[in-house]
Amino acid sequence: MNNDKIFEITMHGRGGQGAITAALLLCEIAYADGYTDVLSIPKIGAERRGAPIKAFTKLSRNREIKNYAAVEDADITIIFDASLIPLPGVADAVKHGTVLVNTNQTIDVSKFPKECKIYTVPVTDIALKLNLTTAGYPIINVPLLGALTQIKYKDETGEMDLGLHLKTIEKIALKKFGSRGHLNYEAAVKASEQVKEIQ
Amino acid sequence: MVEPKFFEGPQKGNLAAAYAAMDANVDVITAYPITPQTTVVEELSSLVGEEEFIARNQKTQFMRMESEHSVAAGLVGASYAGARVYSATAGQGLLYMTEMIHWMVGARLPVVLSIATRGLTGGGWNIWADYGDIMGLRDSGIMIQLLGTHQEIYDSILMGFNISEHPDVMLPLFPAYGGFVLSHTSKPVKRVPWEEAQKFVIPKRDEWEHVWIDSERPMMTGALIMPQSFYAEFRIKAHEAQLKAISVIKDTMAEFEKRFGRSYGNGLVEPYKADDADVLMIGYGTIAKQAEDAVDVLREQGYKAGALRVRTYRPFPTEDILKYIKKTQIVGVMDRAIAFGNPTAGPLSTDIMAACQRYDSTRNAKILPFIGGLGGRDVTYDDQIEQFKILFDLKEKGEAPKKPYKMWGTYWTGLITGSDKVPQGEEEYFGDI
Amino acid sequence: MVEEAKKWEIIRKSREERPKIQSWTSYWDLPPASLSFPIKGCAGHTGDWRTFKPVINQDECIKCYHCYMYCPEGTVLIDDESGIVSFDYDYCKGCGICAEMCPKKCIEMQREV
Ligand code: SF4
Ligand code: SF4
Repeated sequence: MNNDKIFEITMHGRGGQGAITAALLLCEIAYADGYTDVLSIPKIGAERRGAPIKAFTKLSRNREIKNYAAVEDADITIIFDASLIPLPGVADAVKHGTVLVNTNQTIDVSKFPKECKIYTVPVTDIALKLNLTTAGYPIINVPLLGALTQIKYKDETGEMDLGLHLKTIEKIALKKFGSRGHLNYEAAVKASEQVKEIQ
Repeated sequence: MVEPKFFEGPQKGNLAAAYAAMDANVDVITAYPITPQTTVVEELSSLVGEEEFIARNQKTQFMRMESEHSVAAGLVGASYAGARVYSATAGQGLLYMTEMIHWMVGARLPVVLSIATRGLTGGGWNIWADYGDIMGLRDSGIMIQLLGTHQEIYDSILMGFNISEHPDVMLPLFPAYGGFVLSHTSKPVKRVPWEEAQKFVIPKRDEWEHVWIDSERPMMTGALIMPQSFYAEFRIKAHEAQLKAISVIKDTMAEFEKRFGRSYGNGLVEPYKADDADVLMIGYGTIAKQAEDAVDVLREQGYKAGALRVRTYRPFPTEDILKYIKKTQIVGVMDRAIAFGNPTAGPLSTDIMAACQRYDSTRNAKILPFIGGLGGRDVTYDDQIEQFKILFDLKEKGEAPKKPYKMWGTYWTGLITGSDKVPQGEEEYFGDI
Repeated sequence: MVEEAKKWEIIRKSREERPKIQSWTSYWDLPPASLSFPIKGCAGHTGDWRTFKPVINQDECIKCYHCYMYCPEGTVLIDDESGIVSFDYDYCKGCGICAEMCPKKCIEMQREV
């Protein structure tokens, strides 16, 4: 594994889906799992519930992260629901790396470059089944991070995972969400089991 | 002792600021929210009731005010009484405070007020990183520090009280950091353990040396000063205090480093591979931090680039900046603020050009002004590589290259030009005048 | 102790040890900001400014002390024990505000010169 690599992750979500929180949680999880520098960047604008939004995370094991600009060419792209794929700046912004999509169906992989690894995970189903909701909305950000622990990233130096652990998610979820943390963790575990590599 | 809710880990810049104020054991916080500062005072309003601080018997007063003007007036009032005071604001809020900020300076009150800088509004709202707000107050007598990382926000506010309340200084200090780019992003931050923070931060005094509230020893301040009386002298006194602050800032930084092992240059400027550089890029805030990445990339390609981050902008670290300009002679200055109608349109570049006139050894240095990132536009590191390339071009060919985004002698990095056409009427900056 | 702090030690200590008249003479001995101390007669012998002087008719006075509150110079005196009003003619500048404010109109401004 290339220790000097700074992982750049883009999350595409909709207002209310928790993408910004996910970017922050991912930082905390990665920091607890041995990354020395992490950065989460929420792209704040005039967001409303349902509007497409982006959040970025950069993770580094050795080097200090000094670049505060938005991620342009993400190593890992997380798409919070499949209906975002055709929107401008989502699938067409993926140039390399790994894509993780929340869906319970099959997706059109031709929208992404051939060399990309693509994973799907039905986290909305998982959240609804576990009754993990807030104001009727399923909570999908923590489960998506659970799925993230299982995916692989490939570049010239070889294949690697991010080195994130479900146990850490449990620890952080309990700290952040109190008693609801258990349910979040349970969903994350389920997601990590149901994540599928489709390309 | 109660386990703190947060001690170390990824944290938002705004929350780092809030924790620093609490760890400095401030007496009075006055508050009014404004984007992107809001979460500072939001967090403080809950921290004052946090068990961790209650268990330590910390008695920080949190006062909600009805406007920023009142926030600043509250700080002035509390500070007159000798209290350690803190607040935070941004953009238009800072403008609304302006009258009272001049009062803080004139009355020599040691206020620490952090700014999550943002674009100013007029004919269109903008809430994103842009130093136009704080730069508008650059000559008001306040001390200004421009910060580059989340940890630095925490550390600078903690150090801020030692500088501001130092008896030789007694001036307000405004640590400023880019709105959203630092305020809302998260990066690892480590607090100083509370007890150690108390040992580091300057001891509280019952009253300031020059002003107090005590009916047994009545005194009056803020009276009319006639032209033939000492008004001019008091103004010059504040300037003298700014100059004295230079060594106080250096000492505070050295002491902080000794205790906690972290430092930001000498507290005034932070050089990065600047000693042997052929060209030097000077800037501030996160953009200057990011320039260090560009330097690394260029060095790998064999270009000897260097970067210098101006951390303390007022007092202006003339000697510390000129030291590096003397060596390199080819210098770019990057501003994330616009000073309308001033000679270079950039506040820092104008200051640096003026400072260069002080010595023969820097008088002929070639200084190229750059402006970019206004209103929160990302300055990518490709942009920064290009800036360095411009400086290397100047070094090799002896003249600054034309670019479609170069107008009136200034390079407007990231300008949307639409085509590669060189603008009409472009004048060379280094003419024969 | 640091420079600035040392300079202002004396005036801070107590009322008694303050300089009798504000005696800043140059840039070098000024305090950091403009200050003044209420000292009796710091503007000079203001009794000399007077052309009319306030005289009280004690029979009508109801001791409401409006005169005391409104006098800009603090020269209306109240006897600690009897509560009787009198004037400090060394510093009363003869402005007549006390006479104007007296609800009983029992202060008369008498011509002096
Ligand atoms: S005349 Fe004026 S100065 Fe004299 S006692 Fe009356 S109010 Fe005071
Ligand atoms: S205002 Fe008139 S009535 Fe009242 S105390 Fe003074 S002199 Fe007496």
